[in-house]
Amino acid sequence: MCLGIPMKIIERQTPSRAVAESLGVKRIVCTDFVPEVKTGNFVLVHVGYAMQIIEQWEASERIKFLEEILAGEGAIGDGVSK
Amino acid sequence: MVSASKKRVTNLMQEVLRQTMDLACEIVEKKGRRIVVMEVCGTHTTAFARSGLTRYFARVLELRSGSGCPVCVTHQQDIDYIVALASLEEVLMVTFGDMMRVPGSVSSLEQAKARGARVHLCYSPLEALSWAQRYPRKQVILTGIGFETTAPAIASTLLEAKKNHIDNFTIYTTLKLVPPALRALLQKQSFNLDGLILPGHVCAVTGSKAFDFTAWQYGLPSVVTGFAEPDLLAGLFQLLTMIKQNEISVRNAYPSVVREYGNRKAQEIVEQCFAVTDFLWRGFSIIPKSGYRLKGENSIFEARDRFKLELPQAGELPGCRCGEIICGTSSPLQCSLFKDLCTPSKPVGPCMVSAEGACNAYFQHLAEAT
Amino acid sequence: MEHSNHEAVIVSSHGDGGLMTQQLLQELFMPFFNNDWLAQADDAAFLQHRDEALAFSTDSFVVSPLFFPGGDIGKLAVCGTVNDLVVSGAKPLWLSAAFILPEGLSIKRLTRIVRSMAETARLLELPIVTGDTKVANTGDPENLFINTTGIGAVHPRTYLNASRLEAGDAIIITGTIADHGAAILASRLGLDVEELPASDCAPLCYLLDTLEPFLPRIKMMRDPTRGGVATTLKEIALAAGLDLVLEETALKINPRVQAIAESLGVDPLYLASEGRALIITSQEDAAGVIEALRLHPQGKESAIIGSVRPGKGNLCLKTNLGGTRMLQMLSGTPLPRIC
Repeated sequence: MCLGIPMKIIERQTPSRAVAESLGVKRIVCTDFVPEVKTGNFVLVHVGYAMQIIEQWEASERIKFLEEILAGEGAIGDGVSK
Repeated sequence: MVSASKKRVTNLMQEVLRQTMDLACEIVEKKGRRIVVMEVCGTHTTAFARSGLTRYFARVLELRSGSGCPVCVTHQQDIDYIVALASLEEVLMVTFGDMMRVPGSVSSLEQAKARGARVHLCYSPLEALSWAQRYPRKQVILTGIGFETTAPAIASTLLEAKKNHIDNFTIYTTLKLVPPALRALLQKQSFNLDGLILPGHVCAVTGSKAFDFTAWQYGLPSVVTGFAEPDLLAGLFQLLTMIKQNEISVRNAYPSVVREYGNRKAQEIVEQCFAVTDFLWRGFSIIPKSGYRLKGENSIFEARDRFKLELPQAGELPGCRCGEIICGTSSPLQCSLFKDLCTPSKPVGPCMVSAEGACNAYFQHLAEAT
Repeated sequence: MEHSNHEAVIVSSHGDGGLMTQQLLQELFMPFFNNDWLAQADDAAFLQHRDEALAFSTDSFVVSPLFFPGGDIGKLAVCGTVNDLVVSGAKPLWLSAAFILPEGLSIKRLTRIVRSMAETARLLELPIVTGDTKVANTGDPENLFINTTGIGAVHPRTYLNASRLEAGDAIIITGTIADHGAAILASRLGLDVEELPASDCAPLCYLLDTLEPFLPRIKMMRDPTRGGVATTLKEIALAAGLDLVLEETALKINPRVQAIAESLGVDPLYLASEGRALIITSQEDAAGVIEALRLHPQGKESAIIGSVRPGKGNLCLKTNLGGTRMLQMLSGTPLPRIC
């Protein structure tokens, strides 16, 4: 229901605005929801807003993630197991 | 270097795909029937179909769409109100592209625009404020449609409007909450359901905790899942692992974006602007505590209140089964209008219009020529 | 007011080149205009005059903005009609140009557009032999409409028709996809793009020349303009009554184009190209055709992107993951979306 695009923060403009970039496409995004964001961070952008800082976005980290999934240790069970 | 790691990702994905299929076949053998998994989010419906995974697993796994398409669950009454507002002389309507072609009882926004209504598409709700400043004599109305993911952006736009004293701006609020609808859906569930793919971007705001009830209250293995191809695969693989092992819990297969308690800052901004209220959904009627309304002094920004219109009661769309499809009780193929009388270019109901409506996804990505 | 709301009107999706355009043609125009030439429903009509086989094609251009990276409405208006003739197997001979000028259009901008048309036509040694201008109050000084019509000589040894398709044939495209559509969307929406991708807007005349030895055996050519590669190939699949299978891994997309499409939530398979051709030929000829195309600077990225299979008119995409996805004609102009 909610298209989100990973983009990289390349420049902070004001406390609530930053320039984000993905493959050369630049957008000004509102950073009100991630005030701690720094240049170089990846963020998930939805309707012009950075919704969350993305961790592990580099390819090497993706590989590690998939390897862990295959090894059966990738996910964190948050819920109540029976 | 880059291409080497790319290749490694591709190989790993192929391996996950193979193992997922093995898991699925094992489960099917044990159960003696196809696995049924619901993807709550419409973006997942489309992402799975577009990646080819829906058809790839079709023999062993049915992916059923749930209530997670914001355009589809918007009640006919709201669609009619928005179209009527857009047709007012003094109004300039700003909307996300998804809403343009949704058929109202008499007209869609696209048709209203063709008849002279001022309707502008936006990418970000903040653009509505620029329109309001550019046209101070117009009343700019933003269609505030979406779920928890979009609500913070609408809230923040409202705060900017207040800060900059933009008075010719209002919002038609139809923001909805996913968990109450999912509860309503699971309560009246009348079909086999083996697990849930939970909406990654809603969870980015709410946190995965907000969906714990799917495991402890409804006994369903559930996995918070992202939308890129590796994420889709990872989510599906984990869900099938859980189904096989009978593990009833909520797992997070999208930890790069989703934290346990979500985004507190976004939640605070939403709470500042909105109160939770009962809301009318297509397919469900009224679901308690399932939507947002502007609260306190913010309510002067509600378009319904600034422009009170008397509209005829919105009737059901004849023959349309969008309501059942949204609840997961019907598949698009069971609707007699599908593909013959209802197509994306002549849609009867919203599920055929929205790019992430179940009927649209079936029509665009899955249906074969006959 | 209530009453008039029920009356159907033209909406923007009627002009997207997809299903709604088809319906409008089939349900409104064809019942009045139908004849043998029109019923061929090709990019151009094939006319026989004495010993001469001619192709005749017309196209109108509305594009916003009037100037975009890689071109402008003038260049587009020449290339569009020229390319329709070329993919019909014809060498363009004469062109007409008609303008509906909006009140308020800057003369300086109009001069730039007309100069651009003239330059494009001159490079092709294609004379603009007749024309017309009208002025209308279209509500916006940027609402310029151009119509061009072209006549070409059909290459004597070509027969391009979907009915010639057979299972096993190769589907070739002469370059990356979606460049024009992405460039237009990005400029229309004012996206800030580092090195905005240029439209691929270009005449395809070289095609006929480089493909000369293969022409008699080439079965079908089309340019994937409005509606993109998916809509164009789906039309061919339906006309042939065979399935076309595309390989996602073989499709080349400029990363900038991909990024624009992703950030707007639109599918590059449905975005227009204005300087690419889709070619369907026998499997045996495919390698030779690719080799010939790649010799030309405009054809360097040519590739086989799929094949024809027995079937009923489906267009299937074999996805990167190895799954399949069905593709239909475009229904509704691609709009930026949140979901």
